Amino acid sequence: MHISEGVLSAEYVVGGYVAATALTAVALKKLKKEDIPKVSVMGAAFFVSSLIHFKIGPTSVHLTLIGLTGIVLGAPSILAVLTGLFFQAVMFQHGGLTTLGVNTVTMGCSALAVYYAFSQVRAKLAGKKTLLAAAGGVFSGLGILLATLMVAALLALSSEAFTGMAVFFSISQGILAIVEGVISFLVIQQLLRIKPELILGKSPPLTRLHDDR
Amino acid sequence: MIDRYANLDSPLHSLDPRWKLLSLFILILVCASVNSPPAVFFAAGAAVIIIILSRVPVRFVFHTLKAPFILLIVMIFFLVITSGGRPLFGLAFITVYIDGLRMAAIICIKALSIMLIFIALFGTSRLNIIMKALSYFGFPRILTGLLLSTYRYIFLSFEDLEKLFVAARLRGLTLRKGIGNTGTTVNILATLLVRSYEQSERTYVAMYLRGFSGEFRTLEEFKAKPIDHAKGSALLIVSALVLFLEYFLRLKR
Repeated sequence: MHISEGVLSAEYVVGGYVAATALTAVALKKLKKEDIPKVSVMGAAFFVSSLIHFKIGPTSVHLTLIGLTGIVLGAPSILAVLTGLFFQAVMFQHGGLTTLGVNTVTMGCSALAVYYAFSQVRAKLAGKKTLLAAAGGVFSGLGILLATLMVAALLALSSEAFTGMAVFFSISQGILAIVEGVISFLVIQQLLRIKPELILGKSPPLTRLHDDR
Repeated sequence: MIDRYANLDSPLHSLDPRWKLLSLFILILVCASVNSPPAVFFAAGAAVIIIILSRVPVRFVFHTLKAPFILLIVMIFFLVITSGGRPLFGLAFITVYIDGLRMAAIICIKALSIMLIFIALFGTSRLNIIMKALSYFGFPRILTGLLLSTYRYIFLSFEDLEKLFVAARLRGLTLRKGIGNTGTTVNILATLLVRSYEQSERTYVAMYLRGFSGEFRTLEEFKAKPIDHAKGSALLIVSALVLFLEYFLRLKR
């Protein structure tokens, strides 16, 4: 879900870059050395996963997995979003270089919002795995709606002529939000079964090598 | 892969990566910011000349542009029928608007020019060289390092995913059409995430043992010759001309 090249006017392109720079700078400042490989390897895994097509009835969709990225990576997820969008532009020419800033802000904020919401319930629901996975699914779906709202608002604000397009876009993304919510729920449920620390956020023993700092 | 033809020989391939990044990035931003037909058409002409000069094969360019162009056309279709303004003609419950059509044409040409320059930028240098040029302009090294290692792991993740699908097929889990597919795909996805997570732990340990300090280093050195300054300046002048066409004509009106 991203705005294509050539649609936004200069002020939105520049504004997007300024906002994305600020978000990235904060994320980089907070990034711990031991999280660097995690962000790049998991960022790559999420990028590749988002290319899988799910057959839903007669059609197939591919997901953004933005909520799951937020839940697994936490605050550094904004860096994974930025790199993901960059490679989507470089490898498939989707999104684009001029809209990289704006898209990073809309998708990144949605990942952060899902992370924040999920971290509020994580400790309380740690014992009830299905409920926790359901919360993750619902937040992921809502995350898509949040990003959709931001994109639609940007389109409608940048030109009145885009209002109709923004409405069509929102409807199609609304359907995606439901699919994304369900798939995120299923993936979180499976992860809680086989590797709970990915979702529960406890650092595994190997990364505690760093205790000598 | 976009940098498949990064080893050819052309005026763009030989241009100093710093100049290439600076001048083409500015040109891309300028292309995105103009709206008047003369400026847009001039920029499109410049983009076509640049891509011809880059000697990236035409078939590759078309192949790269196909998917984003189809997406663009779908989006543009909605713009043409919902933009409002003066109607051109109506078919059943669909009305095509002149203003929408005009806007759509401008967006299409702008997007195509940007994509062409984008291919000229990323198709004529290897990605690690562009990253090095980015850090020359003050881009945080840790971010370029992250981008490069993500790039590497994208290919490894693809391989992993491929293996998981093959394994699923060998176990007789045929990926049926319809909702029945979802369970298998979810399991494959979860396994890919777990494998990557474990991989990232091993990577960190390996990096830690080799004395990783949080910074990525490269051995490439840049040397700009006079011809690079000339070519880079020429590209900047093209950007200036596009802006001139946009604002000069607006003032004249």
